Amino acid sequence: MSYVGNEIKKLGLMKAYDFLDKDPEANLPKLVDWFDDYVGDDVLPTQRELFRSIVTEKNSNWYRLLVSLWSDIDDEVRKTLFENLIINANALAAPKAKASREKYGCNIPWAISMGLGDDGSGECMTFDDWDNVIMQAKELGTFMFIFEGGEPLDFQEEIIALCNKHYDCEFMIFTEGTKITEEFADEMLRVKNLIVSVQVVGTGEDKKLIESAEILRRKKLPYAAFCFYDEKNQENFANEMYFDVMIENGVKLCLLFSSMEEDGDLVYEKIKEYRKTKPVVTINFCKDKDIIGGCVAGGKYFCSIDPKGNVEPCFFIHETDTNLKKSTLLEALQAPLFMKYHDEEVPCNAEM
Amino acid sequence: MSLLTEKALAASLKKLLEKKTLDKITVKDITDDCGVNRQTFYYHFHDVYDLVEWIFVQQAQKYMYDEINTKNWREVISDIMEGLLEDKAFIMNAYYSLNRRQLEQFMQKLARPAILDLVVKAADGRNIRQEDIDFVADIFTFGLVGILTEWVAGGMDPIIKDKMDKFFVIVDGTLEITLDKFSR
Repeated sequence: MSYVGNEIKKLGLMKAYDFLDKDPEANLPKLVDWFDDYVGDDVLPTQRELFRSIVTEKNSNWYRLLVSLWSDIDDEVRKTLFENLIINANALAAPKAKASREKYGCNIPWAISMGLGDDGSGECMTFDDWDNVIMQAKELGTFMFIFEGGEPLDFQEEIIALCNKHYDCEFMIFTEGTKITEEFADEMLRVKNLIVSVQVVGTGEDKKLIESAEILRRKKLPYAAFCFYDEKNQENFANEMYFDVMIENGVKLCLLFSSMEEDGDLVYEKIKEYRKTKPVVTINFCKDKDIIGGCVAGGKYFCSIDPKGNVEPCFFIHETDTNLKKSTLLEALQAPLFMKYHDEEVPCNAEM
Repeated sequence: MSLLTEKALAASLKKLLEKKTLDKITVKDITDDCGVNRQTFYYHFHDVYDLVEWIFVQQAQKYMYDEINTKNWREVISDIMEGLLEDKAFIMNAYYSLNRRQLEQFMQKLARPAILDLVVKAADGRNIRQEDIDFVADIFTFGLVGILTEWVAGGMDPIIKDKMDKFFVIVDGTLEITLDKFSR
């Protein structure tokens, strides 16, 4: 679609948001009808069906979650989240990414993860390098970015600068959470397009989550929790208390990562159950075929860039054949490693 | 907040504008002049236009708060025009580099806070809804911005300030009558 076409589409969608914002409870169902007519069928087909069931069932956990977005989240941040995540990263990005996929014959990721780090070698990616990657990604149709690495919050100025420059994109940080300060939260309120995802372990040690969450909550910033689990610690997460503590602390989204087989994964079993009752969105990587369509690696929906600019198929697969200090993002996506994911189902060999 | 970095970047931009037009100035030009890196610039601003907007917004603060209670239309508008004249090179350059709509938007940012102050002051004692107050402030802002933009387009002739008298003829008393119509 042309640039002007997109601008008009966006104006329409933002008008729709204003309509929703006036009286979310009354206007939400009307809006979902309208959204169906407005955007193409290829935009989030499964998610939309789910969404429809949410807004029509007023006593449901999903409905409660949705209404809580109005009570718990800053008006401007929520508006930006809608604009960047729903409109830019999906409604407008999907057709653009599809066109790039056809034009270049390779995968175009929905989200790109950027590993922030500095080992003093002078080889690590700088603000200018990341800025360049984001500009290339936007050209191809990617508008969602993730900051990770040792501890991304060691690079607060870099993060805020990237969010502020690319105000049409949505960003998320994966952090252990202790470095969230009052000042940083204020900067998040200023840039509005950054969501924090705090690492939890499912034990009493999650007190740090509660402390950092307190700042975010008070400032009405949305936040998520993420965790890794395996056979040894899955009991920590496969219980009701874990989810209730998250919800009590205002977590709206839980991201769970595990390379366990579906058989014997107690957490995944619980998640499926709680989805019917608990007001929190849970996504399990990469078992949730309905939500994320299975394995997202190799640029299918996701790709990961390490602090030195090496492009990897996933957080957990440290293979690479392209470096972004020497090559373009498109060259990385078209290189043999990623083309393997484009051409065939690659069995998961993630190490978590 | 000290706004030291923002002010330094603004000063660099204004300096560069003496030599080239806004559309030819890159973020790198500004950061090189200022002695900071691009990251620092983008920490504070989305792009060069965001910095221009910031300059207008900063300028707008000048016409608010300080002794606003003793000011009337004439003084506020005269102050705004004096301020624009002081920054003539910057304003003229902005006019040539931006499209008219953008310049008007910046002028609105500059003028509206002061006008809103005047409207709120005049509305004191009347029962008027906030949205109506905002609407009235918008109408008077559009009027003033239209005239100011014309003035800028014509090269910011200092003498033309006298022409503003006609605007005052319209404004004097009209605001009160307008507000009466919105009183409930």
